[in-house]
Amino acid sequence: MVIEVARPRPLWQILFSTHHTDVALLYLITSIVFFMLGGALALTIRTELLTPGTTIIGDADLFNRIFTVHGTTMLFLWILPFISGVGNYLIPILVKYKDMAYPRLNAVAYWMAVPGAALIWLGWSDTSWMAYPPYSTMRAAGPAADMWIFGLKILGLSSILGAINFIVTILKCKHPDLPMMKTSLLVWAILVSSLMTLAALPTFTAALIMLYTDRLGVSGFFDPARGGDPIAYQHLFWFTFHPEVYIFLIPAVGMAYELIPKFSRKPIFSYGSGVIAFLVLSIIAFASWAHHMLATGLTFTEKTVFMIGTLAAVPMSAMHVFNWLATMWGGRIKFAAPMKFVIGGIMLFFTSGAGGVVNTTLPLDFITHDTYWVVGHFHMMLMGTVSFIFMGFLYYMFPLITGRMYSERLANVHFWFTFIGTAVVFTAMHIVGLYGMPRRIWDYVPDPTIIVLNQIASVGAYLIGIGMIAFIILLIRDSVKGKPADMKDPFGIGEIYYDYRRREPHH
Amino acid sequence: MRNNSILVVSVAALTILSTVGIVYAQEEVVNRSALAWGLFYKMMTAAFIVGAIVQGTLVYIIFKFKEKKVKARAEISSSR
Repeated sequence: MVIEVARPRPLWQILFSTHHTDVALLYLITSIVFFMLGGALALTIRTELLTPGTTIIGDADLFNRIFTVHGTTMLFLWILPFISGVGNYLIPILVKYKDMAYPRLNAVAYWMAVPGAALIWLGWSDTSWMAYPPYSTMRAAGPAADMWIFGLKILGLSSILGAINFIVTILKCKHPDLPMMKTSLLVWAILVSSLMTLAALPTFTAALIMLYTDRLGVSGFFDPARGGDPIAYQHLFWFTFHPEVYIFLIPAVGMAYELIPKFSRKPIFSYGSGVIAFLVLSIIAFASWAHHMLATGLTFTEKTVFMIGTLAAVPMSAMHVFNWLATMWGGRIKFAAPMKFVIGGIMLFFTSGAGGVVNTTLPLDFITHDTYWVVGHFHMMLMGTVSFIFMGFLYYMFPLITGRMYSERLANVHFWFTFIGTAVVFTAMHIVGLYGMPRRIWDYVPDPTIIVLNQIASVGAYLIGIGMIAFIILLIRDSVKGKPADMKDPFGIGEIYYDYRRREPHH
Repeated sequence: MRNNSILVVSVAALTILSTVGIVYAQEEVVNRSALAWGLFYKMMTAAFIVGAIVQGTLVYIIFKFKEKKVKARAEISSSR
């Protein structure tokens, strides 16, 4: 188990290991490194937008490259590897199996992510993380855009291999005496998101091939001059990436289900409703992809279908929130760092959800489409909810990984700076969007209100930056010098911690 | 026969009246922007009300059921 980190081992033993905790450790370290790198790019973007005109970035092209790499990094090199890391650590423990079903495949999936990441970071594409044609097929400079395409292709394949491994481990390797309905909701969350990955990702994989052959000039799938249609790419892209939003969100919700009952010292209020909400959300996720395209000339009927499909996610999300509130109600809640981050995430979840309802309502979409409102909305979800719960869960796993306890005081500094910063930056983005500021721009109209709102957003980003510095210090310092944790109950909540010494397979 | 005549006359009258109504109707200006913003404010009002209830409940739970508070409450009840 990870406690092995406390015992000195040659680095190559971890790098070339196929054991699930070693692969998990590699995934987690990779994801945290890229979280910080992506965050540094975000701070650069916010510094550039501090004032109209040039602030620190000399030209629009460089700005485009920075936000492309920022977006791609945060989605594919922070969130997805983190989910894989947590899944690798805990799924075998939670289903009582010795390892993942295919340990070698597991290590291969991780090592595929490394060249994928390298291609994205060395290419430095300017296509934005969506790479819409015609720009991406006709104008985007190579080899940057080509490297981005290949990087994402490799990362996609890595995700598919990881998903297959999780599904087989959960469904086939689970201990025979452990019924599925008695497993942790985190197991359900990883299972559902892995199934969604298998259903959603092949479409984007196909779209990337089409994009590449279009760039080579051997096809014209997205070129109207050759009988193609650029909008077709958007359909293929969002068919993958709207479900992908739930692939990011559902594991975070599963982690919240893992933490809230433990820190409230109460069982989950309704296990069944959690499972149902996961399953229904996974289906609804595929019925709402075109809500990203309401301004692209869809018919009224099509738009209405996708609007209703999107709104159908609201009751399911509400089921989770009410389940959490009801679990906490009457409990004896310990507000250690994991719980603080989860509660912060729930608070911001509602804000981002309300913004999403506005985006998908037909007449309102035309007000908010392609403005900073949308940037505020999805950042509130991915940073405010998903990343918050991830960071909380990392604190929860800290003793398992290092055998040591983190500093609660420094974790507090991390939480409050990050929470206030997140609320400030993304609320300001919502408002500046309503003032009509378009997204993905390097410069903006020197209107006093827009300038002030951008400056508020940038100050919020700097607060997050301070919080993240505390986080990095904590991770490095306490991994090495933290107090040894009581591994039976490191948080003093009277709950049995993960079985970190378990070695034997059940067969 | 008589019923049919009444039906035909009625339908004709309705058609003519509605056509005349449309032709001589006052021009109605629909300000779509105002409608959309009106809807926006209505939805945001609803969102803020629901949000206040949910977030308020969450804040109430945080203060009511936090570890120290529950311990203190238990001590009070046991001393009684």
